[in-house]
Amino acid sequence: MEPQQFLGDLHVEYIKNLFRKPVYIEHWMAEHLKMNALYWGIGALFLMHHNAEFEKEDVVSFILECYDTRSGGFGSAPRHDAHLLSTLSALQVLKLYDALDAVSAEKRSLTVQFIKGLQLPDGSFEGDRFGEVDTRFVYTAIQSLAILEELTPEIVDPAVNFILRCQNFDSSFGMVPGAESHSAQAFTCLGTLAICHALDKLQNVETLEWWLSDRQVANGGLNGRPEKLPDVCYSWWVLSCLGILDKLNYVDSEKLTHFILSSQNSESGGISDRAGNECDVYHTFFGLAGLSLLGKENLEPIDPIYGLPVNVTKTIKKYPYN
Amino acid sequence: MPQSEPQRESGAFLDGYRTEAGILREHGTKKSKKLSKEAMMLRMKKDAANIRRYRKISDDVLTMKENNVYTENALKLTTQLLDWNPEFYSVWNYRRDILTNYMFVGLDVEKKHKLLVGELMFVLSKLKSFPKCYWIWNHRKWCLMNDERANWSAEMQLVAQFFEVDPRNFHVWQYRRFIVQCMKDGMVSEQGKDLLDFEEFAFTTKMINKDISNFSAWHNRSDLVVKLFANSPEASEEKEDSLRKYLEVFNRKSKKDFLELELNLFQNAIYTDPDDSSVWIYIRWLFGDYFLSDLSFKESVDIINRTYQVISELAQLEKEDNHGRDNQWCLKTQVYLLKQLYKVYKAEGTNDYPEDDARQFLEKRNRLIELDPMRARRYTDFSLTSK
Repeated sequence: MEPQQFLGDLHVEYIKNLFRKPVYIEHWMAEHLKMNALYWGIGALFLMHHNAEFEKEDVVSFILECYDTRSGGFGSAPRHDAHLLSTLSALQVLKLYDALDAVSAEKRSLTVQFIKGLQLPDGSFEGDRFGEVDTRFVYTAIQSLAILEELTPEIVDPAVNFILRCQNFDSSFGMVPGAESHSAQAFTCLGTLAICHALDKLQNVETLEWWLSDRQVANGGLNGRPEKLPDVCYSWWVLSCLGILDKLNYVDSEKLTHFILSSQNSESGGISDRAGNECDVYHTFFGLAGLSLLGKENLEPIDPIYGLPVNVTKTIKKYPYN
Repeated sequence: MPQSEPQRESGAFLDGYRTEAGILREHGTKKSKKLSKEAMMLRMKKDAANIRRYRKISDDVLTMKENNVYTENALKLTTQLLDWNPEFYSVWNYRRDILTNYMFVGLDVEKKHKLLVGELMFVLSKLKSFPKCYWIWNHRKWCLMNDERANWSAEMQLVAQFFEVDPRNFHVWQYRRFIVQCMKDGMVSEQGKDLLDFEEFAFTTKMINKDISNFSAWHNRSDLVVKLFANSPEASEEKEDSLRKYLEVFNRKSKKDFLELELNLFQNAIYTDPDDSSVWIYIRWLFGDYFLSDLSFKESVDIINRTYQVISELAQLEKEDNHGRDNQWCLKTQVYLLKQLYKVYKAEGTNDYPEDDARQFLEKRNRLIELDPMRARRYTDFSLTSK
């Protein structure tokens, strides 16, 4: 009943279909996620070596339409406000198409200002000017600046200190100091440390590695927190952390592969959170990203630090510069 | 509205995109039956009017926002739109700008408070349907930060209501910590702040006793313990016996005595559900550097050995109950304790680490490799000396 073969062709069709003209009300109601969806969808296509399904010009001009002239960042859809989350997705997709040059020098410098301006004195970042603080935003800010090759010690050092303060009693990480550990936050924190060349500052690594590998449950899937159900997206959030720590072999790769493959939809393509559930592009991308980290299905190798193909991230200048 | 199958030309996403197959669904959404072509057309027809309305109001709101229109009517329109789609973060942003630039203007503290109480009621109605939506929680915090008369105890009651529905919603836990911090920020007396931390600590005990597998509560406990060791309120203030014991320990800053008290708590928990990871993770922390570095060599050896003994007894019972199968969490904790014990000996500069413990360590670690092959590699990397 559940598929065990990789259904790549169906996934490609699934993602292409996703960007057709919206027909149902909820298509319109999901506009606040459009830029992220673009990253997940196009990221998935690139992992499957389908780099030319969309015209580069179309993608780039859509992203430029989402540039928010008031703030200098990118919004999730045209006319939506800029936010760090959508700004990183925009930059990631531009980077995938090697199209950062499409952003004028003037706009680009305003984007850098927008991001840097959101850093608070304690090193954290707010997602926009309304004050929400989260290690997700530290990561999105730091990776955005990394893609733009604009990291400086003034930005990096306090950011690293903030991240280290988010490590908990179980050695994993939460959204702010004192917040419960969650594997997606572990990714944003380890990813930030890795981009900032600061992994050597990480404490209690062995306990963290155990916490991460304990996320694998009996059916092979990974969960996000203790005593929670497994979910395909953690194939990325947990596995990327183990990848960053060079401990991918601390989980059972065959069982995890089985879990991801059985969450595919064998009729219309796509991957869901668990077998038998409805698919979405978010789980499709992170399922594929997990398979890529495991070296399965001839997928393009993905960089666990950036969530972009290795052949793309090798063109990013690494911090500290020179 | 398209009457025929939509075109498939590349770049069509410029017109929007469809989530027939979903962008980001609520986790755990069951697969629905595939719609027949007729059913699809019917649904599209039915949705068409809604889409027209939704797009009209979205356009209107975004246009007003772009023109910096700050009026009561604009606020009403954002209410309508957010009622429809509370994830539309740009509209929450616009709403805050309307409040700041128009609604708040000329209001005294009391009138502003009244206005924000109404706003909080609107937010609550959204949170009830979307208890995991970051944008809504964020708006609630923003409201409170703008209200000099914010009613913190009402917010704590709200948290309690949300815990009734889901005691592990991390948004709610985070919100609770935020409220506590706001209460502390409003206090002059340091003693009052410390008392609040202790009340929160007592609350985690309550939550753990209700459900020992509430990991969120164990987490919060660990955070509060560190705070209370730094600063704690006077023990003499506390009437209840069991709580006063903790306070005395915090007052004396005695990590050893704290471990003794916790030994009772976790012993209870591991016997209640030996397969639940929450408490085992907590135990691991109790025997980490934060505590052991404050204990003398003798104290460390003594309490590690006693804890090891407690777990060994449970392991034996578990084995008998489960047809000879070992409980993995017992084993994992045993090897961890043996390793911590090794570190204690090392730090003391003695080579007297018992040979029997070294043998036990290897035996149990090898048993884990057999029992838990998914993680075999981490066990083979795990030795008394591994970092």
